[in-house]
Amino acid sequence: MKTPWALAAFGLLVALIPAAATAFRGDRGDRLVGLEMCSVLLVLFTVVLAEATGRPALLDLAVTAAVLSFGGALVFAYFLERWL
Amino acid sequence: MSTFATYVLLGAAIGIALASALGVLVMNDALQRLHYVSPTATLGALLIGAALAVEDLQLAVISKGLLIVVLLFGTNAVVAHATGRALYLRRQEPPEPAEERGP
Repeated sequence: MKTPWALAAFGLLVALIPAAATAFRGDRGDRLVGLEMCSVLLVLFTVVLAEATGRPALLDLAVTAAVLSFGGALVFAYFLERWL
Repeated sequence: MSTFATYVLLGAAIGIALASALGVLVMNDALQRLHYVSPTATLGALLIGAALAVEDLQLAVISKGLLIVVLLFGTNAVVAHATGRALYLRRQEPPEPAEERGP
C-alpha cells in the first residue's frame, strides 16, 4: 500500500464525518447538501483507494458512483422542489 | 521527486476537502452550505487527478482519472444549480389558491 495515498484516503474518511453529520440532521435542504458532499467525497475516496491498493479496477467503481450520484442528486432536488 | 509532488498535491486536496466539509457542517443555511460542496468537487478532484497522473503513468489510469475529474466538474455545476433552485423555490410564498366559483 502506497503511503501518501493511504494517508489521503484516511483524510478523506475524516472529511466524511462532518459531511455525514450534516446529512443526518437539520432541514431537508441541509440533508440534501450533506448527501451531495458525501457523494463527492466517496467518489474521491474510491479514486484514492484504487491507487493506494494498486487496484485500477476500483476506478470503474468511482466513475459509476459519480454518474449515479449525479442522477440521484437531481432526483432528490426535483422531489424537494415539487413535493417534499 | 514524483513522491514529493504527490504528497503536495494530495495534501492540498485533502486540506480543501476537510475545510469544505467543516464549512458544510458549520454554516447556518442550506444555501450557504451549498457553496462549500463545489471546492471539493472541482479543486479537490483536479488535484487528486493531477496526483494520479504524476504517480501512475499508465494511459488507462490517467484517462479514467481525467474522466472522473471531468464528470465531477460538469455534474457538480448542474447539481448545485438544481439544488439551489429547489431551495430557493421552497422559500417562496406558496401561490394563493384559486378562488372557487359558485354555480
